[in-house]
Amino acid sequence: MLSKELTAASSIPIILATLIEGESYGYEIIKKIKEASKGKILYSDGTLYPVLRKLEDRELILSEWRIAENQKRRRYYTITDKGMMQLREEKQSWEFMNGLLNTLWTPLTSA
Amino acid sequence: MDTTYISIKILQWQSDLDKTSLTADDREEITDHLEEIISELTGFGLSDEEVWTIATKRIGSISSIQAEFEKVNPDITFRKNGLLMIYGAVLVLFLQSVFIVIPAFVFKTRHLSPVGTFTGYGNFWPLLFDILIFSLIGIILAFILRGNIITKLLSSYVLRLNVLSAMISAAIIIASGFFIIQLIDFGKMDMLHFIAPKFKTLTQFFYLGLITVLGYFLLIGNSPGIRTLLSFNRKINWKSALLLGAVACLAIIFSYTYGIPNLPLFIGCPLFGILGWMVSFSQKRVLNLFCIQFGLTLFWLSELNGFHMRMFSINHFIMLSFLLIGLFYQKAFGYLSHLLKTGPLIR
Repeated sequence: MLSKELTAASSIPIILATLIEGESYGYEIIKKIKEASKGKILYSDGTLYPVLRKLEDRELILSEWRIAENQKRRRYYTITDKGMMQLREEKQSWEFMNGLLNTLWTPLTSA
Repeated sequence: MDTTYISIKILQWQSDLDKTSLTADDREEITDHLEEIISELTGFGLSDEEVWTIATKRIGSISSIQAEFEKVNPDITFRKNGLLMIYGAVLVLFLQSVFIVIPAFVFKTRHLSPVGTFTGYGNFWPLLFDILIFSLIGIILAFILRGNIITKLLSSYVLRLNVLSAMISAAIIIASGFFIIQLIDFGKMDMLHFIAPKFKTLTQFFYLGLITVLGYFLLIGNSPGIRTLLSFNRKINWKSALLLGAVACLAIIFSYTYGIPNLPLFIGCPLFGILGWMVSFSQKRVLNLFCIQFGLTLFWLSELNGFHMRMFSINHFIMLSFLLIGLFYQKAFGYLSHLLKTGPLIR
């Protein structure tokens, strides 16, 4: 299981990344993250929504209420251009971190 | 599966959620999420109790959800307190008007001749002031003894009546302002007519400002979902458009009373430019645009037969064009910045 701190720090790029391929809604976003992480990242589902509000305030995503196929109102989220830009920057940072750690802990794997 | 257990549990859970500071939209979205988890779990042959336990564990406790929402929107208490503060000020204005300003105003207009000498007034006024003194003592005692209940009752009525209480408040502010200004009667004292116009501006800023602050707190206090100007712009609907347009129109009407050439344009054009820009973010732009200019057009129509019809019409159309400029600003700006970055779109 991943630490709380790491989960929190990575939540923004992870959520943004679930929207790259198109719009989605809360339940589906969580499901995508669980499947992709093979259940290793477990958010409390309810705490996803405040993060979505924060992302919307920063104009990284947009939300819109529509009638879903089950005839209920549902809020759909899409990533904005600004969100895509942010995601590219995040990707660079995480790749850099990944590279840095790989370099630094090489002795650990060879030992 | 017997769904009664789950349905009852969901209802209980919802009523707990209703007590939080979450908006109706947020509550609906989270409840919907919980129902999706439940329908996913019901396929696994679990008992209702097990389904419910797992589902609520997955969605997280209500207190932790609320805590996360408050992190995003930490000024929620400021908004609620701000609204109550303004209503408190309105209550004071109301009491001041009823007990002091209106009696003094009526007394002055009925019994003081223009040169300032008294005419007779009989027994009525001493009796009225005695009644007012005793009523005040009654109110003060009631607040000391039952203040808690009175405050709770007042604030619950004020919040339940919502827009109506805001309109009553605006009426109280305007009426109280009117009576105080009439009572002071600066115009008669200021023979050179130099200070009186400035005093008029001061009072207009004071009372219109109070109404604006009331409207502001009402908007943000009622909708915790509105955290930034842009997210407010996106949620503009016909009601808020009418309100915004009416406030802007009020400011323009006041600006006409000064007789300074083009002052209405100096005030109206930037105001309507900004309003147009705000509407450009909203969902139903055409409807909002219609509502936002409604007050202004009504004002223009009422002046159509007037002496200055030509000036009013020209000003009206200039302001409307600023509204449209504001509306297309966002698009044009986006196009221009794209042009500067990448060169013309059509090569």
